[in-house]
Amino acid sequence: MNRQQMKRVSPYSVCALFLSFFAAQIAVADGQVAHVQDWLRRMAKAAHTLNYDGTFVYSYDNRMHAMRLIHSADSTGERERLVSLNGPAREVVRDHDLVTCILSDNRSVLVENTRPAKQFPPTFPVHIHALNAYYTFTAHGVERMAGQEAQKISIRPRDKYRYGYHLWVDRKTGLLLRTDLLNGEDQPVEQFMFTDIHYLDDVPDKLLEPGISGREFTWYEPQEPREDTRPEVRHWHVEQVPAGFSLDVYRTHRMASGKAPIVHMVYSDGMASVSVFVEKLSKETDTLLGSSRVGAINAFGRKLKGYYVTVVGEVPQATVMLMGQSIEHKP
Amino acid sequence: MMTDFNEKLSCFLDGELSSHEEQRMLDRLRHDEALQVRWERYQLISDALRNNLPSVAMRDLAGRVSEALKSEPVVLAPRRLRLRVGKLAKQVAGVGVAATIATVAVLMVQSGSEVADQGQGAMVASVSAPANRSTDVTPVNVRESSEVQSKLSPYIVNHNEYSVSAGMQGMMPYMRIVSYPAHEPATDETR
Repeated sequence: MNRQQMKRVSPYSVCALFLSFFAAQIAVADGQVAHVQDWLRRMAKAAHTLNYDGTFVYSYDNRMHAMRLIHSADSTGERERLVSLNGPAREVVRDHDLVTCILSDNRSVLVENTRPAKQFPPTFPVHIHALNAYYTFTAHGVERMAGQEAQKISIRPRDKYRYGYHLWVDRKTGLLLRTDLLNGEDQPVEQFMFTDIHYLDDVPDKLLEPGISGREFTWYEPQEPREDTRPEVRHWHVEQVPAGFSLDVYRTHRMASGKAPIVHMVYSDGMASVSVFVEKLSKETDTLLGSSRVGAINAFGRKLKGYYVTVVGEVPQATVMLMGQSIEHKP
Repeated sequence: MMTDFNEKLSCFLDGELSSHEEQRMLDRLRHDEALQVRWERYQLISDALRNNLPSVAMRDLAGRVSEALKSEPVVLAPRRLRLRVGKLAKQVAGVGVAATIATVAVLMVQSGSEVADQGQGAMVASVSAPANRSTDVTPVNVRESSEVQSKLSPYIVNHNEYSVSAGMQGMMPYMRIVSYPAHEPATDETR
């Protein structure tokens, strides 16, 4: 439905809004889980199928950042562009399976081949019933976000190894309009919220092209495209993972600018994911040792038997540390 | 005089010196620390232009080098260097050149660690130490400097592409890379 049509039927959509509001209230009373599951399914689909141009704020640790996100999807695939609107000029551009991060303050450009489009995270779409042991799911009422009616959903963890979420999903389109990621004390670790969103019929190419050429910057690109294998013999094992987390992916991959292939393991409980990277220790490698955090992403690094282990995930520090400290090499 | 020397250094980088001159340059490089640092910079520029930086450490160095270059009266015009490197790349880097670069790489790694240490010192000096608010566990040490975060970027990119949140939110997770603070070392180590 384009915008003009929407204007024309506006009296009806007001009625529809009331009806859907009551429908939401009824749904809250029964079948919470199934209801939330439907919303999450819609949300996951919307993230990859809509055309839009929106502005959002992202905040963590008393920092605030405004960004613009443009997304387009057609039969050939997805294109996206994320542009920082304050602070250093930075952009991330996805052109189908190529992600380019242009970081003007580092004068560098990072290019990575992404997961092949067909291989969505294997645990998706979410099976909430399986997650009930680790999270509680609640559908709340309708709130207004970026001028749209949004369904609020809460997902709370039952232990300290995962974060909680408040999600606001556009009732018309299914697009995620706001997220609060919450720690064990229910305090937001990070938040993002659209302040302005325009759904488009078509996205002009120009909007999806990087505004920074980056031509004079340092480029880090994979030497050979998509060197990504799934080895049969797995030498690395994480001995202790929080209940509900299981191994989704075990691959070897040559990162942009990396000399030797690294082992990349992805663990997930269906909501949150943790990546474990193992790479050979080399003289000139200088990587994280100890803990670090970027917004809701916690990271932990250590050396082990001539290798560097780096664990990152949108999970609490306890989780990355537990996994990082219990990794073992079995010949 | 200096320009001549830089010219030579540039030729050396491009493998255009005679073997006698190469030997003299290597001898000088071994004994002149300042020259080692400069050589490292040229080497990095060259590597950068060939999209050939080897590691995370080098990547950070490259950032610092370009910072330094901004304030340095560059005698050797980068544009010229770019042309030369382009030529070099087309030559598919002859064996002689590769050998030269390999020899010098040893010096490069040594002086590289010096530069890194200086950077670290500067970072500690300007610590502003916000409290670490995570209460999940007692952290061993929490490093939140932009330097560490930029180091993590390649990992986060790879993580994002395989994480469930990417499935649900598309490119939203990249907001974490786009927003990490620039040149604003927060804490180095909080115990």
